[in-house]
Amino acid sequence: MPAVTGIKSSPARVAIGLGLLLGGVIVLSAAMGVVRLPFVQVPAVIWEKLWGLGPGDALASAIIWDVRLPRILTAAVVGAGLSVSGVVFQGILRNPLADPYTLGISAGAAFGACVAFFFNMSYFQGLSVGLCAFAGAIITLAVVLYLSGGTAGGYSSNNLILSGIIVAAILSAGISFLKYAADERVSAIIFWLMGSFVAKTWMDVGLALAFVSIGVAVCLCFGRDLNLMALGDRAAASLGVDVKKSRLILLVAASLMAAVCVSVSGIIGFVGLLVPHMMRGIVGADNQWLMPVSLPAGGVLLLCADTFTRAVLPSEVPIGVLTALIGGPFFCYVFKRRFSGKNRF
Amino acid sequence: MGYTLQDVCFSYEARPIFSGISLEMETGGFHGVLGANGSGKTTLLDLITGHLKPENGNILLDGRRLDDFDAGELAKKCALVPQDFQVNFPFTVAQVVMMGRYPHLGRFSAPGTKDRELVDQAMAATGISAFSCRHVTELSGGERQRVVFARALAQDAACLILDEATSNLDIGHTLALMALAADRVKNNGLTVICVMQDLNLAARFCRSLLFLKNGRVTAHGPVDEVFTESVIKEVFDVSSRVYFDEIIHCKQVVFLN
Repeated sequence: MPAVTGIKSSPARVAIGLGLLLGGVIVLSAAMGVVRLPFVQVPAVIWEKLWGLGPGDALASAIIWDVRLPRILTAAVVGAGLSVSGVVFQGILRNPLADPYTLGISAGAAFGACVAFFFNMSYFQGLSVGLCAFAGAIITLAVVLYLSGGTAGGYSSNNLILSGIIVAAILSAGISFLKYAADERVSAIIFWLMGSFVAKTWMDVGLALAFVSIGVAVCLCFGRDLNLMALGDRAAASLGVDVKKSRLILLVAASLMAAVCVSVSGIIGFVGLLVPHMMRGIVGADNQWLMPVSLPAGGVLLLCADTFTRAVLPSEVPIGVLTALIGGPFFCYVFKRRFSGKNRF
Repeated sequence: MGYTLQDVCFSYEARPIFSGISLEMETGGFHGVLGANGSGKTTLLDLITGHLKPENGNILLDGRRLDDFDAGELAKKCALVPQDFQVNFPFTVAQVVMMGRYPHLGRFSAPGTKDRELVDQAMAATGISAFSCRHVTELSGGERQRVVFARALAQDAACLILDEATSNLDIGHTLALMALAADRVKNNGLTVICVMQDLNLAARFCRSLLFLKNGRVTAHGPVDEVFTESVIKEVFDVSSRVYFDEIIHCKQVVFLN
């Protein structure tokens, strides 16, 4: 759906290229790790699993299918989800510095997870932390929407950002208190907060994939509305967008994606901020293309980072720390080069 | 036909703007809306574009209640050039002008030849073709205003609403855009409703003028009838002399304060 003229590089080609790259990175990273396997074994194992054939090499099959692929696919799906969510949040809030966590989704999820750790919950086969995190994120979203809606400029950018900041501040205090009171369980909380893809299962893949697919599908349907919202509420309304309704739908879709990503993997920063920026530099600002391009780009980026910490570094660094360490300085560089020079704000 | 307001009331929170305003603006006219700051000009535009809903009374477009139109339908009938236009993302000029075609496109259908032609024509008419590939974030205020004007033209609506659309333009571009709008009114049957600050510009291009003061209509009618020293005194509290200029064949005003 090439909607507009004057595009920099052909976005369709970029999207296809990135999609192929993502496939390649998945195969490469499945072969990398403590036990090095030949690359060709990865497609072979996937093939035999998909067709229900007996394993040619039981050990390799177990390593690739049961251990590495769930983690790899979770990382890719979470990266993709956070990136598309970032595009949508920046568009709705009309702010290039927004990301999926701007409205306090991460703080809500973190608080939910902290509560689960604090009370040592272990129902639903170890899913309780994820469920609590998800519930925390959803409740936070509901509170933020309640606070920012209702007035004349319902769900306006300023209202949303302010409500998000207030709610996140309260939740942060709550998290600090739980950490303080948690005694020996505090380490589990801290590790969770830093984000990790260790020991992900096919269930995590399925959950993340289901939510992210639905969210992405909804957001893609509203790509044009997102473009028009960038022109301001008045202009968007005069061009046929029901601003309040579209904004609410996009907010809920993007927040659900972010919520499920955080619940599955903990808080992984900078992906949702950086990827939209990088892709905007390549394909331009048209959200109809920015979203389908950011999807594979986010997957590639987060998967590369996770593979780096898993298979290259001598001991694992929490993925949230790694993305912030790499992403932060890179963002400073992009920010300095792109924005201050040309006065884009 | 055109816009009809029947006894419309509107207020922001506790501050009433209109308490029962009724007026008509017929199709195919060039209507100027004049008044002091805070007299309700932009609110009036917000009401007739459907951006704000009246608390009381009816607003009719071509005899049909505005509420009965859905947003997409309205976007095909009426294009708006808003006062403020800030974009934080590096859309190109051509992309922004193409957004004027969105109401005419299906959710997933790509723009066709006709859409591209209209976009090219709109850019040529407003003199922005030369920088169609530049980012709107890098343009000056005046250039950006011409881009928004072009987007409204590309929208190809029967009614064009200008909210101080020439406030950042130099006099050359101002005259060119107003002449362009006047030409479309004359030859294509376009309706233009235009909020302005410059009285002389309004007297020159508009056919009828609406003077607002504190949410009330002070005078409304053809330029020759309502563009008078007494009306200007009442609305703006400024002494003036209105005269007929032989060279441009219209009324003009000089201010005496």
